[in-house]
Amino acid sequence: MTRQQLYRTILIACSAGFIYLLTGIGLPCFFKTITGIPCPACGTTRFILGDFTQGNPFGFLVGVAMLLPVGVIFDYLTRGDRVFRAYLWVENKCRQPIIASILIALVVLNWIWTISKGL
Amino acid sequence: MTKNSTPNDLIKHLYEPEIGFQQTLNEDEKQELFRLKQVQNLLNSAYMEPSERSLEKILEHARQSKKPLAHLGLFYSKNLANFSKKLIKRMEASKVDLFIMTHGKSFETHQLSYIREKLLELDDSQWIILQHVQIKDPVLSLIVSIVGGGLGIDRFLIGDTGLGIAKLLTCGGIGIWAIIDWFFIMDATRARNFTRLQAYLV
Repeated sequence: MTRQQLYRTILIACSAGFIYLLTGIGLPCFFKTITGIPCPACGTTRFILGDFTQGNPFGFLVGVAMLLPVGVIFDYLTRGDRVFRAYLWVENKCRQPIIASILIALVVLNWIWTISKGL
Repeated sequence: MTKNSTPNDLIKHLYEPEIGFQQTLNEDEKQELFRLKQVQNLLNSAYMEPSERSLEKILEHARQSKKPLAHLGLFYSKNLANFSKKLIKRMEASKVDLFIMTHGKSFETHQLSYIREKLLELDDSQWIILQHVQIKDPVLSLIVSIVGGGLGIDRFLIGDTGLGIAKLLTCGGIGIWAIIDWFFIMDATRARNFTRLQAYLV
């Protein structure tokens, strides 16, 4: 993925996210509709909107990611590639087996927690 | 002692074996004749089934030998140079075709001719490195996308870790991105394979 592609993806995805939040459409999760079990990311919107006890802690990561457009616009203005380099760094770290297995374990634990909360 | 045979006599004997000729040779010459026969066999088999190993064996014999083999070397030198060139090229072509046949479906059709051309230019030693390129099957990624697309597993599988995380955190882009990917994941896999391979082609 090139810098240009990444920045375009971030801008499109984040504007879609803001539209989703501001209009409050509230699409039901496909996974939950079909299986009846909440998916690993269910409750993210609630966390972002301020329901920290019932929401999904993933919301913190998504919330941080929603701030990425600021960095992207800053990069565009200064002709830099900080966000792109950070993205590559994160991707590289996540590919290391030890870190990847820890993260997968965290996601699964979080999922179990989500199911037990009955989101 | 016996009469001293010239290298030409030895080589001549290879092609027109005379009965009783061997008895006229001394020990050194007998060994040399034996070696010549081996080299001749090797050359014949190398023509039938070329490999770098057969060429190495021939050169090894040439190194151990004394006079007559040098003669034989002169005899073959013209052919050998062409032969060794042909040897490497022919080996490459068959290997490249094997590679293309094995992974043909994992690349875009229009990229195949480019890949073939580039692979033919490669040195033979690159072949082993080429085996380590991780090439993913587009059909497998489509199946994974249908089953686990909502969790971004398809993106993790083809190596787009960053997009995989994004897909996981947003529940497959609220289901929409997951459905879009059912149609795009095969092309994405092929593109990804091509970028991976390209790093080795330069």
